[in-house]
Amino acid sequence: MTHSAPQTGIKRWLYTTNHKDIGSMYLIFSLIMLLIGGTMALLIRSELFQPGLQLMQPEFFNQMTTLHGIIMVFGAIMPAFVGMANWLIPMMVGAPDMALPRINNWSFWLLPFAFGMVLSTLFMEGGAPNFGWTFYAPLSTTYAPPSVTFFIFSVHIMGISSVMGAVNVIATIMNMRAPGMNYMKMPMFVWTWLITAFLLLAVMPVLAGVVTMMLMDIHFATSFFDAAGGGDPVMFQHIFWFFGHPEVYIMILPAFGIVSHIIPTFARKKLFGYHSMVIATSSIAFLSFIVWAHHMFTVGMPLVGELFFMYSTMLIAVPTGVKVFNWVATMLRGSMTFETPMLFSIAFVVLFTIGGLSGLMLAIAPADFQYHDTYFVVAHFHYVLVPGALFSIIAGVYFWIPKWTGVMYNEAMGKFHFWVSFVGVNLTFFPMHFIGLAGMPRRIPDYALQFADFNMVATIGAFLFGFSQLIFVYNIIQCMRQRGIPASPQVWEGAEGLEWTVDSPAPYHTFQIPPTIK
Amino acid sequence: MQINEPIKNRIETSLLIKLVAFPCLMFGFGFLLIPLYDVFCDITGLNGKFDLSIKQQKVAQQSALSNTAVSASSHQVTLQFTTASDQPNVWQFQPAESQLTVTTGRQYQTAFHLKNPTGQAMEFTSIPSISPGLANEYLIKTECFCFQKQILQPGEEVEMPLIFQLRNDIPKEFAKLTLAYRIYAQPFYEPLK
Amino acid sequence: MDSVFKHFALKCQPSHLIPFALLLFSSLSHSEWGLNMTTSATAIGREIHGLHMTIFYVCVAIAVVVFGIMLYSIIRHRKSLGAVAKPFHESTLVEIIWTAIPLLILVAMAIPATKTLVAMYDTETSDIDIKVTGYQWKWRYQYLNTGIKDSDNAEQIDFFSTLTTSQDQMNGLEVKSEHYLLEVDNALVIPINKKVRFLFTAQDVIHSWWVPDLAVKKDAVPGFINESWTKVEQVGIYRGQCAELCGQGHGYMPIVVKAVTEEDYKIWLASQQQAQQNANQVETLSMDQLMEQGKAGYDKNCAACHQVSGLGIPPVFPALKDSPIALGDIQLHNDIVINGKPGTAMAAFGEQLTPTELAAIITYERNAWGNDTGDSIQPAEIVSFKQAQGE
Repeated sequence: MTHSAPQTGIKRWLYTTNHKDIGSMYLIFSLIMLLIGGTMALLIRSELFQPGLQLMQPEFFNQMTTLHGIIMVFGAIMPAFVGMANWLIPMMVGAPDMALPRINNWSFWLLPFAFGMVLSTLFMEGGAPNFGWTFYAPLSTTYAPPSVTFFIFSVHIMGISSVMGAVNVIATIMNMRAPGMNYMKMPMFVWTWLITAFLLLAVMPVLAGVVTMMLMDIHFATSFFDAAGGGDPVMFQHIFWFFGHPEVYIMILPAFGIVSHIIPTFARKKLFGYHSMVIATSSIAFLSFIVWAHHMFTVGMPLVGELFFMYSTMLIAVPTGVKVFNWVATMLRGSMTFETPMLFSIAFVVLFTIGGLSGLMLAIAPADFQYHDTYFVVAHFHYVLVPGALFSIIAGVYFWIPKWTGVMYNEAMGKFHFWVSFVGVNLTFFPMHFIGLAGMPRRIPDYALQFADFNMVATIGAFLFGFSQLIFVYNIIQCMRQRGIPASPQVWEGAEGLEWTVDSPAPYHTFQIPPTIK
Repeated sequence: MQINEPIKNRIETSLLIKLVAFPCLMFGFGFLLIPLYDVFCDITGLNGKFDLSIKQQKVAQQSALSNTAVSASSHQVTLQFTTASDQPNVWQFQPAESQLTVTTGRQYQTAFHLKNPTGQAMEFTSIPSISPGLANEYLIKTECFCFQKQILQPGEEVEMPLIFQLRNDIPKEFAKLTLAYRIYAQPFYEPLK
Repeated sequence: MDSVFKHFALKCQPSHLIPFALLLFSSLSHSEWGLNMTTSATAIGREIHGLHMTIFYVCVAIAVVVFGIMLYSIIRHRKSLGAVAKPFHESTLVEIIWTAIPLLILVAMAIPATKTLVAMYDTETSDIDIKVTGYQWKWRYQYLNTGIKDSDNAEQIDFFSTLTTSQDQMNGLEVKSEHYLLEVDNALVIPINKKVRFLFTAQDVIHSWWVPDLAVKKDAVPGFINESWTKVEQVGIYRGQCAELCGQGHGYMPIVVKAVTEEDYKIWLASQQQAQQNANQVETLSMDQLMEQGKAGYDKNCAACHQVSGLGIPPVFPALKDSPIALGDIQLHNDIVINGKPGTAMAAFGEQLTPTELAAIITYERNAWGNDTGDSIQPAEIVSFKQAQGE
């Protein structure tokens, strides 16, 4: 049934098959989850402000760290990238919508249900999952609270959502590009999402497999991970990280894509090395399958195994470095201006690189024996995820929100948001390198006195960073309420791509007749 | 193409089929990782994991293995035994000898003590583990109480045998090995006739 | 409001952060400031520290070059300075160069890393073997093949090492001690200059034994054993923590290793033999003695879950004050403390505490917080209880 304007009221959002509507829902959902996960982070950091137990019992602290991880990974970062994929991929390839619009709707609506279930576990007897977002067995099987079953169920639901979304993305990109847009003319965001979608298809089912095995161990007397029945807890780790490592690349490849749009726009210069960027992204995706056991260097692997995973992990630094060099080469001899999206993108390059370099240090297996399960690891992954993935999402929102809403965000407020976030994020996570090296383990609610000073600094940074996101929320709401300078179709002087050829805000249906690409 | 065209005109159906089949296959792959993991552990000795199946017993029964006679290439290895159990050591599960100096190629017999002091018949599963794990392939167990569950009646006390030998080609770097057994106890009920 | 933001936005430059960053980096190699990894008391630990510093400097160099170029570009290639974009956007040669150079750097790094890893897998025969078992939430140490056995033919030197920091310190009611959260009742004692081999396993969930100064970290997996080794060069006390999330007490199961001279180690071994014999001796204790020792034992072993107040955290950790078990049948009370309650977090303390400790704690639980049963349990009764079970 064709219609030119959307329905009104709640029905519009429940039944929409429009990629723009669905994209908006994903983005708003992920923002809410970011604030919830962020609140949990602030609770954690509050407890860690000083040595001693002030606010919560260790049991509850473990629930907070677990839920914080699950919500941020599966509820904030991944849905935000899916939301951007929904909004942008059809427009960028000149398609009228995603390939499977009704499945698209269902993919979204599964998420509030899954996360409602996850959050409800806080109120169940025995409490929420408390075994870390990496849920190693047997802590997550034999020794888990009853809510683990709901955790497993919600992971299955999230997985189905992700897999369907990935099918949709691939089908759209492979089938619905406008005539003349061959693969090597596709924008980088589309490329990175194409590769990410294949990663999702490959590893989300393995996650589904491992949680199903957990379910069977817990309820159906199997012994996948129980030595007593001939099983092996270490096998859990192998299967989990076979999913887990590609998962972290799933969380960063779209970020690479976003930044590859923003930097050329504000440098007024084409992205340097397009071909090389495509090859590098593909190499990263391929290599991501053969590095998983670098999360397990202390588990008791034989020497040959440790060496293999050390070498493969070090190798993955090469294509990643190539991408960083290409962004820098894009900036060089450009004509740069520093609007908010560019500020966040430059910060992404710098701070993600710091995270990547600490990752390289972690790859050195002998040294990793001293880093593993300490705050050094926490510092590493927060650098790549917060000033990495999250900054790229924020950059992307600032960059494209004039296209989505038709209204420019408040630039001065955006810059202020940037600087406070930049200071906050570094104040929070940089000291974690030190306390990790000094010997503080992960996932502890209380710590020895020598770690006190930097923990205090980290907590202050966390509050600064956390509350500054409210400035961002306010700015977004103002745009949604049409309070701001109207945006032109082009919006940014240096912007290139099909999405900038349509009006701002983009019409409800775009490219109903495909454009011809030269 | 238009968004309101039927799907089969818009999308290559064969692509869709492939895209749906792939995750299903990957789900199966997750479960395939279990036997694959066993093979991997067998080859690498990860976790000192043993294959407690028929294969191990068959290998043990083929005692005419070229590397298992005392010869010029035999050398000495220190072998330690240690035990663990899942409750206060009510079961008195201990090795008769906690350390042996073993010559490769020669067959040895040792024993493990186990007692069921409760008033209920108990079934014991023993899980072996060796360190360093890679030494696993050089240890041949001709007979081990760990091959099957042991059932002890109330008050029963047994000396459970372990008959083993180390292959001559065990690398010299494996000079000291530790073989650990962990028992898990369950009440045993006679199957209904 | 807007002008505040504008003012802020115009004033802050990335270059203002450079002096701060340099200051930070320059001080990073001094471990006594709590900024860096320990320089270690073992040769392997020093090798690891060296590797760590090398890869760190390599990373700093890469960062300085890359960020330096970026900074230069940010300053010079601005539209506001009139810069015009030069439209180059590819160069196969450059791509090859900046793929090859990092690859070479990595190969150079992999060589010393491989060498150190191989050294960590050293299999030279050890002088001493110690089995380390992770429990929720404490460590158990059993010295293997010391030649000292008890009547059950079990290894004689077999003890638990539990955190001794008080609940009052954790709750801010008492000043925190110097080794807050890093102090135990029974430290692991080893001699210097001898290779000590550790065998790791766990009773329940995965734990991980880590002592930074020894550069030893190995996961303790339930049902399986892992091994590692150390050779400490300096006398001293080295502290570490559990490094794998294992439940609510994960942050409360530290490790203390006392490295002593060989002569002191021999003396300690002999005293352990004596101590193990003494622990199993039973004497009659007065009510006051039982209550005093019981309170100390309760605070150390039970209060983490059941709380100093005895109120617990129901329903997961039941209250002992006014509890039917503490007020009811003594044998049932003994049973739950000694054998635990399978399927719950209540561990079996029978093999972790001596009969004297058990008797005192049970007595305390039956009389504290107004429970006032007047019951007292003698250590001999605990011994009989265990024997009746078949110990």
